[in-house]
Amino acid sequence: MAVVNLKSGAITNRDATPKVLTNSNISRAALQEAVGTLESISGNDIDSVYRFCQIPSNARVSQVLLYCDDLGSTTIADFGLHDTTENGAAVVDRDFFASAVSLKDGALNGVDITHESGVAFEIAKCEMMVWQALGLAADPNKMYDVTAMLTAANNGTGTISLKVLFAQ
Amino acid sequence: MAVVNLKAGAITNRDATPKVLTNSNISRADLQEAVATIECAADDATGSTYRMVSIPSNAVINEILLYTDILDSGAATMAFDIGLYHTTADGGAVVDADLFASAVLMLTSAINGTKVAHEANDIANAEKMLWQILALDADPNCMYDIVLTTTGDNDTAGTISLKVRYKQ
Repeated sequence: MAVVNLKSGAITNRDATPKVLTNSNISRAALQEAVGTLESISGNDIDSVYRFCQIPSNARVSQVLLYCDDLGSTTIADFGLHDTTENGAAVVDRDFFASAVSLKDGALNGVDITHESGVAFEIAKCEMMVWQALGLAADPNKMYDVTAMLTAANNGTGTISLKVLFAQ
Repeated sequence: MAVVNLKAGAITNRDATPKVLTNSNISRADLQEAVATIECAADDATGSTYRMVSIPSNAVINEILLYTDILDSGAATMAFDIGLYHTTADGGAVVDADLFASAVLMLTSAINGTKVAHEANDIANAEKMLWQILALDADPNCMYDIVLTTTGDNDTAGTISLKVRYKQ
């Protein structure tokens, strides 16, 4: 065992000689919020896509909060990113934030699903911008849609809302 | 028993004659966020420090969100305080090691955005700036580091991330 004194990236930068600038989206970021709500319908099949809001590729996502009614007995969804309609609407990473979240086991009231999938956006990547967490070589300078994509059919009708807090 | 009609400080100020100005960091503040992540090792001993973020002495803390991997193999010895230290440039000494949270225990499951701002910090301090919570006579106009100090030995390596929301 050893007593250690670890520093995060921003603290390491601050204490360096000469000092190294840290992106302001990490250290003194102004938070913005995008919110989206939609009404899902019983009968929506697997791979249905629910588009909630858009965020820029250079966003550093702070928190994704999920609210929904109790949606039937089968409804499960991934939460991730798609290209915007203007950019072709294709899936980018369907479970970037969360994988196979149950929407059928009671209403959800602001559940934090930001790092639920633990892979593409694991907590070790919480300082990264979206394009960095996606493993891209450079910022594509575009918008992404934050989406839910059904992994099991929806047999309940009700509201799903998403609040996405992010910094730029 | 009595029916009462209480007012918070900002409401009392607003209703006073003449009105009293309330610091904007209480009533209409824009939220800022600092975020940090570190990787701790399996043999970090009690008394280790993890320096996460730096915030100003006049910050009003909105929330501190804690995310961790599983950091205990089952013996449940890993725990840490969350508090304030002086920055490295100001000597690096401890100010109040458990100002926000005391002996937060790492269990055999990951922690996903647990709110720790008031685990040890009295909720009656919610409107106060850091220097006021520290009971200083005046704002020292300095930065403080938010630091995790281990109060138990760690036996599992993993990620710890912290998101600190505050107003100025």
